[in-house]
Amino acid sequence: MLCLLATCLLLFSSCSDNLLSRIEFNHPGGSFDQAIDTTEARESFSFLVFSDLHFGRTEKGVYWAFDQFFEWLEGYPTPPLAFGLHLGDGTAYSLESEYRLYGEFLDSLEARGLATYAVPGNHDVRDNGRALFRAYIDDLTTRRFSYKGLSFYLLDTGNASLGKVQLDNLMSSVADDPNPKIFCGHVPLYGGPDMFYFSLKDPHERALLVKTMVQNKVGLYLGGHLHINHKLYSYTDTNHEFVCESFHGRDSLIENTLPVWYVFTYDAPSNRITIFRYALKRDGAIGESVVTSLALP
Amino acid sequence: MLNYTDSTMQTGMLWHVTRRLRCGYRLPAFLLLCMLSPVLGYPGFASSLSIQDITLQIGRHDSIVKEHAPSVAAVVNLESSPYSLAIGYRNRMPVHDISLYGHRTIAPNFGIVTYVHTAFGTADSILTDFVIGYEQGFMLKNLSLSYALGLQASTSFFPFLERPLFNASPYLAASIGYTCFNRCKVTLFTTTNTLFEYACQSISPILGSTCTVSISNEFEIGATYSMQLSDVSPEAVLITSKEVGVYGTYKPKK
Repeated sequence: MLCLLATCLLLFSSCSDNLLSRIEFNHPGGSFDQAIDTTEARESFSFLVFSDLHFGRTEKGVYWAFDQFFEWLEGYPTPPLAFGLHLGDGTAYSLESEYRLYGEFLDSLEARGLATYAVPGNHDVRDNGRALFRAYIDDLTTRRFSYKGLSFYLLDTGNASLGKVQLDNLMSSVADDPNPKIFCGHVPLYGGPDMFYFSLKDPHERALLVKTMVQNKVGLYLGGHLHINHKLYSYTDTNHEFVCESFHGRDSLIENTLPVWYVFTYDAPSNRITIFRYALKRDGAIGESVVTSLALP
Repeated sequence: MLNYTDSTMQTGMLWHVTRRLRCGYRLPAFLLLCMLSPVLGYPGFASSLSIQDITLQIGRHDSIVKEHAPSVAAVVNLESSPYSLAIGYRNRMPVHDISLYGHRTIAPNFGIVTYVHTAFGTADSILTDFVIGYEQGFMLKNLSLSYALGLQASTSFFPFLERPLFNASPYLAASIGYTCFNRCKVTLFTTTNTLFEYACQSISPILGSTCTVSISNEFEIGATYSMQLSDVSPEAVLITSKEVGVYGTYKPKK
């Protein structure tokens, strides 16, 4: 019987690479080996954060407020926003026509002096979505950059998982980076006990990411995906997660939302980030509110 | 390949467990009590508990956290009608899984199922999940069908966090089996929780199959393959873990 068992095991082990030998299959990959400045002195700055543009979304009641947003952006007081972060789901069905509109929108932000980084979301990676992302948005689906003493890691969570290659690369890159860090992904890491269906699902992967955040000065994990409201969850006093609302609005029974975007202001002397929320109200006015102020490691 | 083990893990884990027990997590403790309730009657049946079978499995486990991990598992099935209980241990270094599965028969082909599973060895964490649900089976000649519905909850404990991470979602399972030649059974299943695997959310299904051959009244051998997906269609899906193994089961004479 033991011989039979051993033979079966050998047979299984020598089968298809995709199904048996490797955990990665259709994986997103991604590395974080871009050069960053780890000697730069920390300075205060602000940046724009928005999520879930969803160009091409055809469900009833979905609307955008591009004109009001651009008017707000052009009137934003000095000092200007340093850059923008889009937290994924720029498209609805990963179609090329949607990616074209998505790319044109980011170009229009850049034309107004706001270079914007983007991460892929689950709606962006269906079929050959990643290839279209590389063609129209960024030739890298994962990357890192530093700005005035903070490091930003752009994660590809489009598959509701980082996958082995990306996770390994992230772990090793973060360990060598002494800057305080911000992780930017689409799918939330956890978000709280009431986030039933909208966060990363593998408990072991999540455990590694949480430990990495706590031990490697990752002060903030930014996510989107949820649409309906924002979520703030603090793992420790200096490790937090913030889940953003969607940039588009919708009038429907199950998703009754306003177009929302955020400005994150980093204050170097206090080493805190303050989150400002901007929402286009039903009366056409843009409301500003302070969501919270978070201490970084 | 990166190794996410921690040399201080075991010491840290003991301290962590002690601390958690001392501090007490009321919600997880309450949930644990609820989940265990169907099997709490076991002490009363202890004297009549009998070993139904003992299964030993060897294989390989691949996951996002660690590829090519040899896995060894042992499961003991006990029974005292109308209860049955399975106690399992799996080692896929650096992760240890300890599981308890209870089943209480309410009526023919209908019962209450309970899982309690703890995994430790990843990033200093203790990952615990609970399931309670009901299971119904059907027999159509050589075909067996079953489904289960219920609630699953999980908590992730970390020594460096004050509060555990908690999730809850529906428990869903279905299987179809076919018996041929009176000694061979092939089963296909999809579930959100197995004896040793779970996800924080139920839209991360586990798909698998087993093939068992009886070689005598006392011995069975078989092979199993299962994989867990990161999501469901229409999303782009990753395999987050998979396991292949062969097993032998010994059924003591009664």
